[in-house]
Amino acid sequence: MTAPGASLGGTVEMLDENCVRERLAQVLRRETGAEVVIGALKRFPVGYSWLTYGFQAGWQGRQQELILRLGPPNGLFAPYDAAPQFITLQALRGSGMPLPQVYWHGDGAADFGAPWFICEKVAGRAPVMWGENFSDATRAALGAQLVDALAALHRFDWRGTPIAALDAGVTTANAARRQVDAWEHSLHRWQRRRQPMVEAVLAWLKAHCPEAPRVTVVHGDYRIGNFLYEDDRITAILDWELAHLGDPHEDLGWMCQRTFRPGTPLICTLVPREELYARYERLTGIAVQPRLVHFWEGFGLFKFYAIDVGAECCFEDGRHNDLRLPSMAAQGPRLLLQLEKAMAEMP
Amino acid sequence: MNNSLDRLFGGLIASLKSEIIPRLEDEFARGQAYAAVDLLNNLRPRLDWAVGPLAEQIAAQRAAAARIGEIGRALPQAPPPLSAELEAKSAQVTGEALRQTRDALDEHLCRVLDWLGGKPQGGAEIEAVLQQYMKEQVRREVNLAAKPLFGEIAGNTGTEKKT
Repeated sequence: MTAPGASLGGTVEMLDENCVRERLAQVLRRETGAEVVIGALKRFPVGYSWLTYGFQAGWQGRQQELILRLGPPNGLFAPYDAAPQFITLQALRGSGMPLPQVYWHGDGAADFGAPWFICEKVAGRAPVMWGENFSDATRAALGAQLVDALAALHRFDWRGTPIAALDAGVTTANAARRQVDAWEHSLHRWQRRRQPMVEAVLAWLKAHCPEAPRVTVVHGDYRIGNFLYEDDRITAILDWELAHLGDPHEDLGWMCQRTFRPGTPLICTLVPREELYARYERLTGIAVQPRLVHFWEGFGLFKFYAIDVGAECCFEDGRHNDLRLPSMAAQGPRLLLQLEKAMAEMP
Repeated sequence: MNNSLDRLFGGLIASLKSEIIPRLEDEFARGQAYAAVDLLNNLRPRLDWAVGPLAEQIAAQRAAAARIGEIGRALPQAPPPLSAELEAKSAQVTGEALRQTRDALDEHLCRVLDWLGGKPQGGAEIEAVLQQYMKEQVRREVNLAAKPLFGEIAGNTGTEKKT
């Protein structure tokens, strides 16, 4: 039992279901102004970053399936902020994207000892990129909807919404350089030693930053595995922690990564590249520039590499004992080899 | 321990894959076990017995042999002498010392890259040397990296993700 008002600062407490339930009851009581009954919690063992709990809450005769997400201090990208995700998801309601409804959030330590938000639990399951045996019809339907949702995101007029304040100062001229600088900053925060090849990659990225055709909301991790589907319908696009304003080609370059289509030329194992480009262009009016997609694919490889270094650092610091972190980091040299090829083949 | 390291790694990997993982029912635990297999595969070509304890033992052996030699010189029948070859062997370096040297040399090469960023006159030849080093080094490292087990490791993440 945690004393009322005490912080849930440690991950151990965040993993203690009784502690989390007790805090959830307090938060929901405050937010709804009613007595709330919290059902059993289920922790979903996914990802390396935010903790995810599913639970049922009942108040004033209403029963609702909800999701609590917590950004733990030992997470891969810690320290976290809940507000950007929450504000983005809230602002994007009505954009035409399938999204979970968000309800409440907090960034202080008072409630859970970490940033948090609560949203609806959407029906569906997240597909894996390995060995998902889609029928041709399902594959075609999900592929088309994945493009449609991305097009809706990139069509969204963010000006005049709270999203504008989250990433002020992004222009078509500086969108790429801001991302390169941000990930270089993260890399420097995590890396324990400089390596010539990595420095050479960074110099290449900086020398080739393209002008964006327009500034849009960028999801930042748009791919197979980050959406839910039921039958042949995408029910929600998930994982908005890397969302920002930038070049729409960034999402295209990321979803085109080879990592997300093992053993198949289909982007995200769902859609041929030509179909992706044609459908996307028709829906957004943005002419896809292969040179820009190539740059952003290279940038994506660098981002993967930086995340690997972050995973190595997280494990080395003892913040996590998850063996997937050093295992993932062991593939860094393969990413550098792919980057070498990407640099040589820049159109 | 007298088994070869390679055999120990091979046995650990085989046991995890054929005896332990098939009996694990929890998906997250299976993912962790596959990650352990992946790490063992990656460690296998990189690891040798720790240099430190061996160096300590060798220093003690040298001290004992030297003392035996000193004592033996006063004896009518001398004990067997230490061979000249063994006596001339230089001190061993530790793995950690090697890593520090590697990091210092990489830092030096990075500083050369920083210098090249200023487009110095005649820098092209130096850049070519660095490019060659980087090209070869990334291949050396890829050759040490085991084929990734992402699919097996992430097998737990597909069905449970919710929001």
